[in-house]
Amino acid sequence: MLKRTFRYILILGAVPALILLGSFLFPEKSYAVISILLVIFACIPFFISFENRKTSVRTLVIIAIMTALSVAGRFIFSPIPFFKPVTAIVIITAVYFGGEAGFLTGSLSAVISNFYFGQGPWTPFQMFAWGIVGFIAGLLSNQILRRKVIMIIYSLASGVIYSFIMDLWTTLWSDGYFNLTRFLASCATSAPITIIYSVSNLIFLLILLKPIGKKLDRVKIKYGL
Amino acid sequence: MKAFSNFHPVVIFIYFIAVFSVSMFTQSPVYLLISMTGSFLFLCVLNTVKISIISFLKYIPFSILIMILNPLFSHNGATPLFFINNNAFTFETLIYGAILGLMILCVIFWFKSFNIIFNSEKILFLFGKISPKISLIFSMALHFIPNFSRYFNEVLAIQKKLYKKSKFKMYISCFSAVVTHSLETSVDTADSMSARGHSTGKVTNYGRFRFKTDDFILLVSILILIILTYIAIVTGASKVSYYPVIIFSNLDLITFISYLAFAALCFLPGMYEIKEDLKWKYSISKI
Amino acid sequence: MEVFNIKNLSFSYPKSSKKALNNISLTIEQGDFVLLCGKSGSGKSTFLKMLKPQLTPAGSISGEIIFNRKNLIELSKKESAEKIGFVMQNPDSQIVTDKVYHELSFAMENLAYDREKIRLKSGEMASFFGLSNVFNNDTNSLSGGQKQLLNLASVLTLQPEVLILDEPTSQLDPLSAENFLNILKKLNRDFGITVIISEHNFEEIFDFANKVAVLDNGKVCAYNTPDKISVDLKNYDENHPILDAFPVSLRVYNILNRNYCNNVPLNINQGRKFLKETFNNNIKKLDEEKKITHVIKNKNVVISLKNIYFRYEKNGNDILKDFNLIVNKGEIYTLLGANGSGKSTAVKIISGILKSYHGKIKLSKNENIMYLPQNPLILFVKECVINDFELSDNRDKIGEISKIFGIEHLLYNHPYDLSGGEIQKAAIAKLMLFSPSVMILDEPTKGIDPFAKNELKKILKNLQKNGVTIIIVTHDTEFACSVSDRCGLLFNGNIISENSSKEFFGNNGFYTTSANKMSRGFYENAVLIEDIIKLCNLNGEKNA
Repeated sequence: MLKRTFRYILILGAVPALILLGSFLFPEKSYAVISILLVIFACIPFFISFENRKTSVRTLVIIAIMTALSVAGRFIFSPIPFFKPVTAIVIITAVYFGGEAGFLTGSLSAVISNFYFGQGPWTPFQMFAWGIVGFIAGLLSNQILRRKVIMIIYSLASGVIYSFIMDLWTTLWSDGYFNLTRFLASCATSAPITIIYSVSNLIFLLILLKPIGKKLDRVKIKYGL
Repeated sequence: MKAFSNFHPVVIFIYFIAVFSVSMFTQSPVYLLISMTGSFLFLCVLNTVKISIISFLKYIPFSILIMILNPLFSHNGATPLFFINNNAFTFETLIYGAILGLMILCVIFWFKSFNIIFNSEKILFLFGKISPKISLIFSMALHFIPNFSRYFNEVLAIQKKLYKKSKFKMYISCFSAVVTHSLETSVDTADSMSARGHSTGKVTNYGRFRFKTDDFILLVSILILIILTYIAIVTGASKVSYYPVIIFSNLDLITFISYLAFAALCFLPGMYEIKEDLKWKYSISKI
Repeated sequence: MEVFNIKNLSFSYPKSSKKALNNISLTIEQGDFVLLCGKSGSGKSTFLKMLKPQLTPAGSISGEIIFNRKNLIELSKKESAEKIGFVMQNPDSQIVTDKVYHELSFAMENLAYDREKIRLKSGEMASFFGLSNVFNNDTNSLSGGQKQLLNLASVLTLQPEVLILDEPTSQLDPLSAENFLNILKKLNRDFGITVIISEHNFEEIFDFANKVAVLDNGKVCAYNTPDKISVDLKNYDENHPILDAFPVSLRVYNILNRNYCNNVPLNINQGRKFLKETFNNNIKKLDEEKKITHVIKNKNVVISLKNIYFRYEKNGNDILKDFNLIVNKGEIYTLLGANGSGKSTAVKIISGILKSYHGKIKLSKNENIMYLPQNPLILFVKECVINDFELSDNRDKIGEISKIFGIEHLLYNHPYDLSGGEIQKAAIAKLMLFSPSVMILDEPTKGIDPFAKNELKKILKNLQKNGVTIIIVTHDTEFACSVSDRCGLLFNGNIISENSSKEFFGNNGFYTTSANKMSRGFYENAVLIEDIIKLCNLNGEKNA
């Protein structure tokens, strides 16, 4: 318990320390440094709490499978431009296994798929963006399952959340501070793609949410639960 | 030959962090040019010179675009070149845009080497110690991905022969078959894990990397070089400011040492590869 | 010393009134090599899973299992992992991690062995299993046989006392299977590890096992040494189907059913001795032979391939080189050959899944070719067999065809719930809905039990009667011999020998059926067990 408290204090203390360090070392680019560090540190609590919690072998395997499916999905659907099931799979995992599993699936999908598509300074942001989309889906899981409207709204919103975070990154990185004009411009340029992504999320979620749920139920019986 | 990748993952990781930190967050063209040359040399050694030059040329238009776009978003600077809608298009922002373009080029190039050197195995080793559970998921996913893609292609080949459906429908139903396949076989995977004592309690994390004397030497060199580099950055001795007018700091000793140290840092892996390559060729020639 | 002492063990799955295991009592001694046989669904897997607490499925259990004088339930997770090793059927799904060395260290990591020990043990295991040169590779890059060896090696890193294996070689080709089983024998013989193994095709290990248990409907109906098991089994049921799965030599012995005083033959060599010493062997061959060779003479060519070249990658090696093949209407043609000889590639080219880069493929008009892949599950994309059937245009034929195939009761099941034999039938039935005139089957006997094999044989013969041309790719010489009209042997990218199946196997020295191996030198072209029996009866016993 003491160890855990210590860890959390460390994390809480780390954020202001990072901000100070960043602005001290790189006065010109402090926002960019801080944003990257912040994003990394924002992921850590999720990882720690998952690491510390007792998880069944089954959950472990299923998170690995969902992550693999979302990454493999990027390859599988490569002949159909813009239609990628990643976000949908992340949301589905979160809906059925909770926000933490969703965060994990999202962020791991980002790192792993970048092994194939190339890591870059954007990797931490992508991890956070997909992770948080999953985490929020976990919080809304009951609503998403029961009410179609919420499901539709959230699947569209998830595309917007994702590109919002990535546009934020582009702006901070290129200017070193938050330049509103550039942010709006990059939002505007990415808008068509954002719309396509949102729609594809919606389509995938409409098609996959219930069937995958059924498949998971079947497997649960097989696992003897 | 990728001799540099044989170093301990922790050391390699620290190396890349050191280089990235300077390349990504400094605004001095000197550091960026050093970094660019170093990354280019490294990539040339890892790939071939031809491939590296081609990929360099590919990114040139991109950098120029960034350079030209910058003055449109940012209107600082004291030397307007012309006006668009009453907004100044200044000389300083244009130069800053060029620096930005160079910086992005640097980072892209370092990441190209990073992607070659720092494979999934090293990442797993690095984070396996911190987080065994997550790194296990990571490893499992890496094992599953090619399996799933292969299964999908097998299903697709058969389905294509049997039915004439729209491409999208076909892909969806095959993907759904992959989901079924993966979840059904997951029972076996979980059983095989339990059978081999998973979740019995404490675990060790085994990686085949060992920390050797060479790793220690490299680590110390990296640390010395990066500290020397940073002295000038932190004290502001090597600072370049762009707004309102471009001011270069005077070249004093601290700055000079800093440039030298950073150059040594950036050229280190490339030179190391070349040295090992020559050594190898020499050894071979004796056979 | 007893390793396992099982007393009155019964088990039933939740929501099922039927007992999956019914009052099983048996003891297994230290150092035993126990072969467990029985039809699909007789409870073999369930029984084996009972012996490893972590794998025991949910359901109601009665009776008790004593392991090393201790109740199995009292075993800690760590003890269970260390003492009882378990290897399952599917090589792929048991592998957890992405690198070979990581997979080898997985079990030791879980039990928190120190790093030095892990380094040592995993290196040692890799050397013993011939995995040293792939130690740093991706697990995905291994062949099926290597994967299964890796699974075994990973279990053995903990040095278990008992190894339990559930049909470990059913997904492997014969060569890898033999290699795997030889290692098992070695582990038992040289290291004294107790082995409990279930298998469908157990000819290879039957004589090595010191005990054979036959499971029937959840009951152990016979448990004895290999030479005495047939007597026990016959006492239980004169026509028990497992009798047909025994090694050829023992089957010949059993079918002739006389009380010979000499030893019971358990392998081919002993079978040869038995034939030599017991029968006169003056009559060398059966008369009907000539007729058989004349059956297929109608030159109605359905498929002809000429000078086919194929490679998977531009700079790769040619898998098929100057490959030629002619298949006539209505015949069953079987393509045999070692791993990597290009059998599967050849049929994928015929069925249009792959394209050759050179050569001519001629199909006669209106031929509708259907292809059954090695893994029949690939044909199913829905959650229920009938839903998959309904995807075809001939919905009205579903009832009729499923009746012919005897799968009406399976239509509403999930494809993954069917046994190997059942899914095979369902897959062929599904392809029949597309009214094929040519059916291509890739390794149709892989992973199915001998009874399903017999049924498959009947189904194929029936299809042939209805005018369907059939091309089979298989490793299974017995099956090929009994079902096909003509056979071809593929080597190094082209067919090096081709003949009517009887002469094909009669002429081959090594690539032939067990019956032929056993009767070579005494009888000519006796390639099936029926041939040997007939010849034995014709010849009569010595001194009789």
